[in-house]
Amino acid sequence: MKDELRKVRFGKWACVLWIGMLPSVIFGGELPLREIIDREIKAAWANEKITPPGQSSDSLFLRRIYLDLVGMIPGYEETTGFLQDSDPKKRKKLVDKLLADPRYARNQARVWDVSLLGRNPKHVGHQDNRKHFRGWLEMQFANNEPYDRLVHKLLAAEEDGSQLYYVVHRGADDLTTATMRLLLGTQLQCAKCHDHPYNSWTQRDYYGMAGFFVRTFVHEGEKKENVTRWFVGEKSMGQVNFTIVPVDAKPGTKGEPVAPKFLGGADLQEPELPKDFKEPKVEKKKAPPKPMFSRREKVVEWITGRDNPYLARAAVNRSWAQFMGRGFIHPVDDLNEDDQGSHPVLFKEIERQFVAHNFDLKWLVREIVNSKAYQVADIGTATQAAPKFYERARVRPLSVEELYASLHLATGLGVEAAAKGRPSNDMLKYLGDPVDGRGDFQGSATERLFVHNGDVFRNLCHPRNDNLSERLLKGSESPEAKVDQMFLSVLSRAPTEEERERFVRYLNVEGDDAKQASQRMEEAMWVLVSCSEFRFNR
Amino acid sequence: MKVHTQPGNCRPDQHDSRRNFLKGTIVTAAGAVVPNWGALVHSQTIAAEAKRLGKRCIMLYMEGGVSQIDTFDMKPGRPTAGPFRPIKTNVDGIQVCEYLPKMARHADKLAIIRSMKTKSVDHGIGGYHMHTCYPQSERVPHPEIGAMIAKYCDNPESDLPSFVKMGASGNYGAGYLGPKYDPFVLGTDGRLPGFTNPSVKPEVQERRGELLKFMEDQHAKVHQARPFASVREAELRTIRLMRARAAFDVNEEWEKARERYGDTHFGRGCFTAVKLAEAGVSFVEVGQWGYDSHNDNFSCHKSLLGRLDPAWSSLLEDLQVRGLLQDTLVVWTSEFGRTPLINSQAGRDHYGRAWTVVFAGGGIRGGQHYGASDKDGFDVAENPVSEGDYFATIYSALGMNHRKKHFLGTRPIWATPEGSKPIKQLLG
Amino acid sequence: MEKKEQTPEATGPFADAKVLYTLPWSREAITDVAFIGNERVAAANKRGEILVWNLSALDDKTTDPARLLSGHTNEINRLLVTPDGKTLISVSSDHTVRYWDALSEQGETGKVVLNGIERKGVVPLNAKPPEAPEPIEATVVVQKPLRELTGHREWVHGLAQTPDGKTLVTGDDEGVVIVWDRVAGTERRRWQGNFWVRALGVSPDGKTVAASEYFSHRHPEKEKDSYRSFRFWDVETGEPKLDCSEEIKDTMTAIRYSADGKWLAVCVGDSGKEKPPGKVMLLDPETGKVILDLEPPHLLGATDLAFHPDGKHLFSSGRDQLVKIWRLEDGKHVRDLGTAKERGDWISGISISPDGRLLAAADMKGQVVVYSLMAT
Repeated sequence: MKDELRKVRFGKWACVLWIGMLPSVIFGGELPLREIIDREIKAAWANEKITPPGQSSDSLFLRRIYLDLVGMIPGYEETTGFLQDSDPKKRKKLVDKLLADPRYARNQARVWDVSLLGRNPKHVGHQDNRKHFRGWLEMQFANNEPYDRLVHKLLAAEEDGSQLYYVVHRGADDLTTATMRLLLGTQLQCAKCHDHPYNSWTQRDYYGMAGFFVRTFVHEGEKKENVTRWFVGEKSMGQVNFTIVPVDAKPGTKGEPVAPKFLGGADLQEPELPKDFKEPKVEKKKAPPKPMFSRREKVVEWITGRDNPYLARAAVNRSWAQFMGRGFIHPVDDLNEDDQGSHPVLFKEIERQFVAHNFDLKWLVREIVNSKAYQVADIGTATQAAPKFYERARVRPLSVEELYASLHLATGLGVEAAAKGRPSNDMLKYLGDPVDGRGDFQGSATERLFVHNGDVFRNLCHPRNDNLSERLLKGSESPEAKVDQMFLSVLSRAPTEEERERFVRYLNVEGDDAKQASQRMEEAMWVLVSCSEFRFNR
Repeated sequence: MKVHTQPGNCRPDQHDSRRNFLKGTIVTAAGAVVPNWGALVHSQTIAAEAKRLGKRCIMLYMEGGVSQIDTFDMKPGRPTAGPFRPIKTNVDGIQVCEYLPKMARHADKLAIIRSMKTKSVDHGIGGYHMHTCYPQSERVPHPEIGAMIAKYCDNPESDLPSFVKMGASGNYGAGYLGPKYDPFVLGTDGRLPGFTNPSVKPEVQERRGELLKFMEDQHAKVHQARPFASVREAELRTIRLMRARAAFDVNEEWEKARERYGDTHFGRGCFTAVKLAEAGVSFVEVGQWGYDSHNDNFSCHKSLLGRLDPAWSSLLEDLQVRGLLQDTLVVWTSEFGRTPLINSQAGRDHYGRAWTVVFAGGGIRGGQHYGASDKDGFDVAENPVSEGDYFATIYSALGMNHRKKHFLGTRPIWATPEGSKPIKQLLG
Repeated sequence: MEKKEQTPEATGPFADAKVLYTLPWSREAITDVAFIGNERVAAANKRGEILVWNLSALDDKTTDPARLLSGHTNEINRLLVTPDGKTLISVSSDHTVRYWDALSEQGETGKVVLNGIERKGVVPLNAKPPEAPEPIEATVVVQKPLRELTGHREWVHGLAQTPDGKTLVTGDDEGVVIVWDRVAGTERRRWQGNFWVRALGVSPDGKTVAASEYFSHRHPEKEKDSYRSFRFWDVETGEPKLDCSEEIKDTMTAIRYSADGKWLAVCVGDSGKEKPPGKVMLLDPETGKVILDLEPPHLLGATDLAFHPDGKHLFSSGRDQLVKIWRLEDGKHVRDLGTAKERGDWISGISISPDGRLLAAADMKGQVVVYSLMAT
């Protein structure tokens, strides 16, 4: 039997190989990126003498891909549908389906919003401002705006809702640091007070970049309902002055003016201002006048230029880390010139193809998640959350938004309910930021206390509102079938023999005690949503 | 990242308990196994055995950078003095600020180190350096002092967390020691965070806890990744915390203590620290906000010292009265000091070249100055004390090895950097 | 502060204001200034020294003071001169209130050092401590206080008098307010507030004292809102008769009634925040309610107030290096004197000469600037 299968499989693979070679023929010898990924990852395993891991089971893959692409677990129907499907291409089709789902854009907007602004940014004012920004981001992802265009739009800050980035990162200091770190993956701020400890950058480099932003300012326009219309303006005058000053100096402290200089590049050439030039007044609530010469425009061009050495690289590293758990270079925003990353050949190749595909993020995501490397199993001896050579699937905690949505789906309240609401302030507070300064998950007693005694988890498990608990209580299926439903709903998998048996026992009450039955059902559901398996994406 | 700890540091019976703790059960001295995944009540035997032995530490952390010249290193008559005047204490030769009158009566307990000389003079990095002993630029996840002390002085039988923190101080984490030694953070006035009261009946708590344990055990069989372990450990800590929450409830006794400590968050925090020390918590950190006086330094310090004085002095008194002072090291510290020169906004800025910390209790020889700054307070004149020396002194006072070695992969890391020396003059 | 700021209304009153003298005294931060008549200016500093300049004796070559009033042992916080122009009164952090002969030129000759180390605070990591500069001295007549009142046990900041010069009111950081018979130097009444009384004003009829109390603190979530109060006290009974703490949510640095009792002005500063707002407000003297919030406020805290003898204008000074002039009738901002700067040298006190022609402004950097307010 095995031999026959092997023959069939060989035959299939032979076909696939033949078909797979077609694109290489057409595109002049290029393998699809997903296969290059697999090849390189595998090569690194061999090099490091790591036993290659197996592939994830269907239910593991299902849950993983849903969370990664649309930010919530699959519902019961979707789960059973996928698990029962015998189509060998079902994983690929699922990826396509989810990438076309509007929730994909929303999820990407959420991920990039938190990256760009931080979890709890200052200066945002009313939270509707943030919603507005996310809405703008969502539109970009829905249209699959090429990444370099997206960054250009973000930095040009002309489209409605796109300006919050400048509002949050105010002042030349913050703006320079944030832009260099988030968009170009360089921790240039370390070079602010002394020449960079690990790179060859100097203070001159830092202040040279700051020079592009020192004239930028944010101006408040009209407020409609709770949303403020912001303008990002730029003065015609103003310099970064610097001299050797104490540790906590800011640009603008007395010193010599520093001309703007592109990082790793030339000084900026700018025209002289007319002699009697006076900075025009900025009128209240109105768009500020354009500057005589815009430094910011120049730096935006440079940042989003095709040949900017940092832009594609940083984006690739970030996206790779988003799905694989760990960038080629770790931490994700600390790319320095000497570090080639854990998989230098692969990193370079992805970067090249990303640029060749016009910075198409959706294409990149599709390639990554269709790779076998992404789809590896979650068991193995490695104990890190994100193993360096990807020999085990990464384990990452669900964000509070993912938790909120997934809890609704897990307790059978449906996608609408999951997508509509927002986590409460309490939930944000207790579940919002479970990582330490280095990005590692920290289990905390305060989080567990909230899970135990806060109302969110309990209320969703309590039988009511036609949720899963209520339906199962009323339903006439066998206890075993009910337990199966619970596991499939919450953990997107069937229970093991032991688990089924244990849960059936737990749900069994003496006589007809409806109250007890309800209590037990609630408790059993609570256990499923509170366990560590639910809390992470793996 | 593999973390190995040095063997041979604990007593055999403690070692046994630790193993069982990790398995999720408690073994009493009599050998009975008690499940503790949800049980909110445990037997008298365990309670008795959980009584503390060994030393503990309370750290009073002045957030923002406290001014040494306006507290313990007065410079009367000098241009850097400012408007505060010194007063005598109950120790000849020791003077303190007039706005610390109650502390003046405890000078015999205090070891005043006036020669701190540290390198990280900004918030964030200063707090990090003074909490972990290492500068923040290094890429090693150093544990903060509370985590280190919690690990080596903890009592695994106790339900209470070994490391409790309240008020302002930042969260530096347990680093390479692992999330088990993370602080349990209370509100700024020592109140329990929300949701500490169990929301279900004890029997429900217990049976669902059992079911949860079952799920976790099944999961742990094939899932070794650290985040899962982290959640499991947190769950265990949480159950024990709910069980021991009465220890944090100081409301009734606070009514009487309020007068002495001052009706402030910091006062209540200090009182809570005393109660927790009594209940056996190894390390409690109480932070007081607001010392970063780049402008109006004297108004700022005057009001803060007015709150610090009754709280700190009552804390020392109460520890003494309860017979705990000998075994409890009380450290008064900050991120850095403040400039001797007053700036143009009547303020003082950050300063690391010469500043002051104060130790008391824990066997420290009180009633003395150690080290001195020059006549105007610009530099250390004698016996400079580095971050490493400061940490070494604390660890030594608590009976810990200040050159304790851990491993990050294959790389060794020491609790204090090479060359750190505990201050012999202070240690009994 | 040599530069003038011109506002569009530079054709109104005080349009011709210009600097007449800049009197350097940088030994230590100057805290207040007061005109003695129209010819003399007194200023006090944080060393507890008071210098008096005779303006008629000043010219291009000399800006030296004539007298040094010596006696205080800690910072002097406020100065005033009695309406008859004969007595100068100072309050200090040495807990005392002292009287000085405002006019006499008699006394021992002595010297006073006029300059000192630049107040910078931040010193680069490895730098040497700054050297004291070569002392610049002036020869002065040194005088002692006429009288020392020791009723207070804490820093005294609050200082006010009635226009008839008979009642003096002082307030300290213990919360104690003392109403004095100014001439006799005896206590008429005293009462105890809750926090530091750093600003107070007394109504012209001497019956009401408006006092702002606070206790500096810097906590992101305020511990208690009640670390601050603003109340009107009945001098006869020593009891508070009106509590307006909710009306103005910031702590005040100066409270002044106009001589005719029509106006009550307050200004806001140092509330323990890093950037205290610098509002100046006109209140109803009877009810304490805000009538006018003068705009635009000082960029940072406001520090002092002075009513112009013309009865129509109010002057305020601030931490933004500005003196602002306001029209009382409608609260209109007439003009600014000085250059606004966010982290500059605070103006700590102002005083207007009795004839309304001169303004003196003292700053923390160490100079007293005398402006001529009118053309001639």
